[in-house]
Amino acid sequence: MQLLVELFGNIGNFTLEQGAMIIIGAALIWCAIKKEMEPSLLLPMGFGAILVNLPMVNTEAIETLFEAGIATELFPLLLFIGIGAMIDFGPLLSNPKMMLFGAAAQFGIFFTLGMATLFGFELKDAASIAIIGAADGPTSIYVANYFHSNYQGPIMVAAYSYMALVPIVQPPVIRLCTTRKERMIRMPYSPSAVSGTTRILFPIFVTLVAGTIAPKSAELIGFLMFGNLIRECGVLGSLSTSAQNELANLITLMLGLSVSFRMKAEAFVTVETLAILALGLVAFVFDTVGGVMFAKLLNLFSKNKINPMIGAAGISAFPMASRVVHKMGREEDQSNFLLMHAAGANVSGQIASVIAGGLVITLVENALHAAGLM
Amino acid sequence: MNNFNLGFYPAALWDVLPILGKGLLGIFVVICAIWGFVVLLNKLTAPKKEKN
Repeated sequence: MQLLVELFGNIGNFTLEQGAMIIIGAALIWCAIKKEMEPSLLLPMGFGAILVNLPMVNTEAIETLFEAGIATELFPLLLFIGIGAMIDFGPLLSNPKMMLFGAAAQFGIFFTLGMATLFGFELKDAASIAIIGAADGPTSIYVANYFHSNYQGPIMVAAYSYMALVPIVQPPVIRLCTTRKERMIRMPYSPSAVSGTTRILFPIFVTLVAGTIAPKSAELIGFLMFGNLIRECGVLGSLSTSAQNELANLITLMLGLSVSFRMKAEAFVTVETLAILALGLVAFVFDTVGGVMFAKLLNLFSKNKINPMIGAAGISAFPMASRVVHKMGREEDQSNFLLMHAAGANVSGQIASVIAGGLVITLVENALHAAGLM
Repeated sequence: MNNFNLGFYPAALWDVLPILGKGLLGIFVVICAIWGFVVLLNKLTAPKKEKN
């Protein structure tokens, strides 16, 4: 009997909240495996969530990983090298007008920042929550960590879950904001040739401009663009392949595990988490609305009409958002091909979301300094 | 996690409005600068058309 108590005594230490977190962890694993929703991240996050919520468990190793990779902001930055190496900016460079949609589709970030403060979040937490609307996991982690937000766990879960849910979240919003006639607008695709020089100078110039105007985004955009330079320079083929595969995979794995350190029951099972999940959805919805409405605004002044759905592809979730737009276009008209336009707007969203992250850090930090809160 | 009091704070929203405006404007400024650069670069480095 004594032996049984010694062996199984720890079961009595389980709390209801820990049970809830283990179910959440299992749900994340299910989403990763069964639904293939961001599996490289949701699977380690889900497993980590189960691990850190066992009673009396020693989480020193995960904490060390968190302190080394996330508290120092190394993991999101290193991951950006891999992401930069994966992105082909060709569709954007050959059709640079699409850049505007990347900017417009960041509207949700700023709308959510307003909503989060309206409902009672402190400014630094509101800024961290709003960046869920960047539809860009590493930027969300970077900003939340920069402001030492207490809500890193829920923010990460919301950011990656909604990114995976783009094909479910965006279509109804797009339909609400557009008429069938607008969704059927055809856009001829006649890309201009993009030279190797342009492809090489582009990442350097973006780093210079974004880093100068929003210095807080310099690291983020710099690592993203460095990855892209490795891809485009033409002399580092094997490094580019490594960055796209081994580096990105390993960092994602460790990122997922270390984020789970912030998914302990006492910090996660709260009203705030529900509020953050709701605000994250608001951010994605208003990103989509912002992009679509901006395209409609341009159509008022433009002779060559733009299919307003292209605006919705300006969010950073690549390539889901462009696929959603292309698929919706074909649903209305089988012979309407919007993919290349949407891809241009989509990769622009990658750049704009990082710039938005840097701007939010700069502006919020200035406001906190002015109020004597930082 | 005790720095959140669910409520309705219009004054707080009013305070952050300048951040929202500056942020959105800032993104468009940066993106327009990059757009201009790409257009210029495309023009300068475009392959010359051969005369028939």
